[in-house]
Amino acid sequence: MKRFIIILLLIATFAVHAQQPPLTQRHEQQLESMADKDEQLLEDESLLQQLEMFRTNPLNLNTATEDELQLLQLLNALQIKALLQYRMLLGRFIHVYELQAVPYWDVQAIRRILPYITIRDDEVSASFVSTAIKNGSSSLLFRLSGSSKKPAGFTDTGTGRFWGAPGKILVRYRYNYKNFVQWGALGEKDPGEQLFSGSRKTGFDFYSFHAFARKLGIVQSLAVGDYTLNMGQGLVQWQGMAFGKGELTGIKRQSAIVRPYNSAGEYNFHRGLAITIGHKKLAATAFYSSRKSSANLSLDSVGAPPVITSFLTSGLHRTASELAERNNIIQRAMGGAISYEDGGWHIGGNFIQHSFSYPVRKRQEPHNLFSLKGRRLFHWSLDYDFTFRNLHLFGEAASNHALNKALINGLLLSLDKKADISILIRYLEPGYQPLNASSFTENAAPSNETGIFTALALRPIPRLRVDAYADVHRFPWLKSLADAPTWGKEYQVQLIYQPRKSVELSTRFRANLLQTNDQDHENAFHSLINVLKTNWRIQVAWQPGTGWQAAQRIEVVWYKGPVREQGYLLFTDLRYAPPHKPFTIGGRLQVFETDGFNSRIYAVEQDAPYAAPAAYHKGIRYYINLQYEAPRRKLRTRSIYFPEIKIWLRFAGILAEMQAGTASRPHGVDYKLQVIFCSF
Amino acid sequence: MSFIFFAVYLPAQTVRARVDCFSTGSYHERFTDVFSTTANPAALVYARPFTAGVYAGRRFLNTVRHFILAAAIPAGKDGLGIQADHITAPSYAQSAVGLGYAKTLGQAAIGARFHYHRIMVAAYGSIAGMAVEAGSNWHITDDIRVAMCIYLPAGGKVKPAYYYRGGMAWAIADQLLLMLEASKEENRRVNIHAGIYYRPTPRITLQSGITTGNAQPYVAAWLQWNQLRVLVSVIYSMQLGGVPGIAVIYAPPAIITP
Repeated sequence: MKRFIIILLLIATFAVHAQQPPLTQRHEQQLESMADKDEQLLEDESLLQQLEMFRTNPLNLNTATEDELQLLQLLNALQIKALLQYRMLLGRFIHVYELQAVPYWDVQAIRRILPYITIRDDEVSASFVSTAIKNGSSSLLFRLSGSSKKPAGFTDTGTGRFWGAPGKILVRYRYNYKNFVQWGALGEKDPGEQLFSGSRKTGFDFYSFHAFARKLGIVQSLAVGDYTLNMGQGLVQWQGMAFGKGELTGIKRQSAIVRPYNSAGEYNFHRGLAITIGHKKLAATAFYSSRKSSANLSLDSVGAPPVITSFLTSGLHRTASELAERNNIIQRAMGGAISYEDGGWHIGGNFIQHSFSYPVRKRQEPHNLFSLKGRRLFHWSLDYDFTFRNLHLFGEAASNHALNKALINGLLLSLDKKADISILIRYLEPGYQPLNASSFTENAAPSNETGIFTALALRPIPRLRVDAYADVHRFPWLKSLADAPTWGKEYQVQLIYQPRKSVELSTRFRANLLQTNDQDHENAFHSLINVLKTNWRIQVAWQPGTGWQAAQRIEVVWYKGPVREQGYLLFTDLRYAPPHKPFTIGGRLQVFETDGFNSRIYAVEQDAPYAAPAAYHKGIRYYINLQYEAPRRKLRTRSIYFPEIKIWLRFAGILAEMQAGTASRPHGVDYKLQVIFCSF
Repeated sequence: MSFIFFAVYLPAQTVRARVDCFSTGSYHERFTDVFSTTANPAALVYARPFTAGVYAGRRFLNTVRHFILAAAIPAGKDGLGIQADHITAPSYAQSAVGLGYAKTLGQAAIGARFHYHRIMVAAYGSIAGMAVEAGSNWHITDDIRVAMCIYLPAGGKVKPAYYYRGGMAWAIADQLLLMLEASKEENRRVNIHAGIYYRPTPRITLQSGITTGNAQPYVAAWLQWNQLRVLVSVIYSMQLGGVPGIAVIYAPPAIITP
C-alpha cells in the first residue's frame, strides 16, 4: 500500500512539472538515428505537431481509439491492446491512477504519456459541423530563419548562383477542433529561393493546403488536399515519421492510414482526396493523388521522351538548374485499403498504383539493376496483427507488378513484469522496389535486405531499466558503395537508472558493423572491407531546482574502416522555466572533436523542426532558445480577445571550428524567430 | 605428409561445435535438460531424474551433419553424464565420446568431463586425442547464477582449440531465464552469447538468443509430450542461411520443476 501511495505521489508531482515537456530521451535517440540515415527525414514536423496538439487537447483515454493511441508513438502494441481490453471489460477509467492496473503498463510508460492524456467522462465528437467550426482553435505561425554567414551560392555569379534571398520563411495557418477537424495551409521558401519575384511571382516556392476530419459518422476520416498514407508495416507505403531500432515500441509501425499533412517537406506526401469509411468491424479506404514533383530528367535520344533518372527530394529551388527542374513531372497515385478487425486480431489488404508523366529509368549501374522502372508501379500487400494474452504478432506480406516479394513478421512478448522481448524477421527481395515506403529495415527503403532483429527490455529493479537489441542483416544485391552482396550487424545496450524522480542516469553502448567498398582508387574493382563504428554514451539529466532542468552528455566514438578515427562529444544543457511565468530560457554548450566525418556524432537539439546536426572535426557549438508565451486575454470593456502569443527566438552556431591541418575559422550565427498566434 | 597438413588445420572444425541454445539452461536447475549438461559438466548435478536425448542438425549449407547423444544419470546429490558427438561430411568425419561427473558443494557445483576425439578422412585414415573439460556453477542467489567452464587438449594427435567460457544468468521468474556469457576460443575473437529461456506453459518452452562471433541469432521451441520433449531449432547464419536442428529427450516432467 505504501509503495502504491509513493507511486501515486510521484505521478502527481510529475504532472505538475509536465508543462511543455521537451522531447523524451526515446524520441531524441530515434531522431539521432534518423539523422544518421537521412537528415531530410527530420523535416517532417508531424510528430512535434501531434504531440503539441495532444498537449493542448489531451487525449481522453475513455474514448481514445487504437489509431489515436498509436499517434503518440509512446506505447507499444501490447500496451495499446491491453488498455482497450481493460476499458472494454471494466468500463471507463475513473482516474489516471487507474492506469497502474492496466496489464503491461509500468510507471515509466505512464509518465511518458501523462502530458498528453486525460481521463474525462464526457464524450466529444465532431458530429455537428457547426460545433466543430465554432469551438475550435486557430493558430498562425510565422517562422524566419537564416544565418549571418552566407553560403557560396549567394556570391556566385555563374550557374551556381542563388536567385533568392538568404532567409528561410514559413507561414502556416491551422485550425483544429479537438483532434476531430483540422484544416490549414502553409507557404514556405528555403534559403536562396525567390519570394514574390523572378519565377516565383505568386509568392512562396512551396504551398500546402489540407482539410481533414475524423469520426463523422461512418466516415472515419476524410482528407482533402495534402495528406500522407501509412499502410500496414510500411512495405507498400509509409509517409509518416517512423522510428526504427531502439526500444520495443518502435518495432511495429503504428498509425492511422490517412493523416493530414502540414509540414514544409516538399516531397513525401500526396495531394488529392482520401476517405476511410468504417462500419462495425470493417473499414475501407480509397485515395487519389495527383501532384507536380521535381525530378532529374535525361534524354536518351533526340525526339524520344525523357526518362526520370532520380526524384529530387530536397525541395530546394535556388539556382537556375534547380528552378528548371522544379515541378517538371506529374506524379499520380491511387489505391485503397480494406481491413477487418475483431477484438484481438486484424487483417487488411492494401493496394497502390503510382504513375508518372515520364518513365523512370535510373542510371545503368550494377547496383541499379533492380531499381524502379517504367511509368506505372503496382504494389499490394496483406497485413495482420494478432494478440493472444501476452503475445502480439504482426506482419505484412507484399508484392509488386513483377511479383517480387517482401515479408516482415514480428512479435512482441511480455515475458514477465520485469521483461519484454520482441523479434522481427524481414525478407525483402532486391526486385521489390516500393516508392515512398518505410519499413523496419536497415536500408532507407524496404528492399534488398534480409535480417533478424531482437530486442529485450528489462526492469530488474523498479528504478532501473535495461534495453538491448541485436540486429543482423544481409543485402543480397549490390548497393551504392558496395560492389558485392554485403552483410552487417548492430548491437546496443542501454541502462537507464532513476534514483529519484528528478534524476536520470543513463549509459549506452552501440556497435555497428557494415561492409563497404575499399576506397583504393587505383583498383578498378573494389573489394569489400568491414567498417566498425562503436559509440559509448553517458548522460545524466536532473532538475537542480524548481523550474530548472539540466542535462550532461559525453559520447565517445571509435571508427575502424579504411582509416581509423575516434572522437568525442560533450554537452551541457540548461533550461529554466519559472513556474507561473510566461518565459522560458534554455540552451546548450557543446564541445566536440573527431578525427573526421566518419566518426561524426549526432545530438538532437531543441528546435523546430527537429535538428540533429552532425558534429565532426573540432569545435564548440552552442544554442540559446528564448520563449515567451502571453496568454489569451480579454479586453476590459469589449468582448474582444487578444490571442495567445508564443514567441520563440533561437541563436545557434559554432564558436570555433578547426579542421585537421587548418587554422580555426569563424562560423556564422544561425538565428530563428518564430511567432505563433493561437486561439484568435 | 598430406595427412599431417590436414591434421594441423583440424582444430578449426572440432566436434565441440556447440549448439548455442543448449548452454542457456545449464545455469539454473529449473531450466536444465540433458543437452544443457553438454555445455557445462557442472550442470550434471541439475539434470534429474534420469534423462537422455538425441540431437540431429545440419550445418554449412546442409553438407555437414551433426549428431549428439547424451544421458545424465543422478548419483545421490551428484551426477554422471555420458556424451557422444558425431560430425559427418562427404569423405570426412569427427566423433567424440565424453564421460563426466559433477558434484554439489552447497551453494556451488563443479564438474569435469573427459573427451576422446577421433578424426577420419577418406583415404588418409584417422587420428585420435584426448581433451578435458572442467566447469563450475555458483549460486549467488536463488535466482542469479555465475558459471565458468574451461576446455583444454590433453594429449594425442588431435589437438582441438582450447576455450574459456564464463557467464551469468538471472531467473526472473519460474518460467523465465536470461543468460549472458562470454567465451574465448583459441585464435578467435571473444564471443558474446545472450540467451533467453521462456516457458509460457508447462508443455511449451521457447528459446532465443544471439552469438556475436558469427552474428548468429537462433530460436528454438520445445514441446513436452508425456515423458518426451521434442526440440526444433533454427540458427540463422548470414552467409549460410538457416541451420536446422531437431532433438528428442526422454525427460519426466519432474525435471522441469524440481
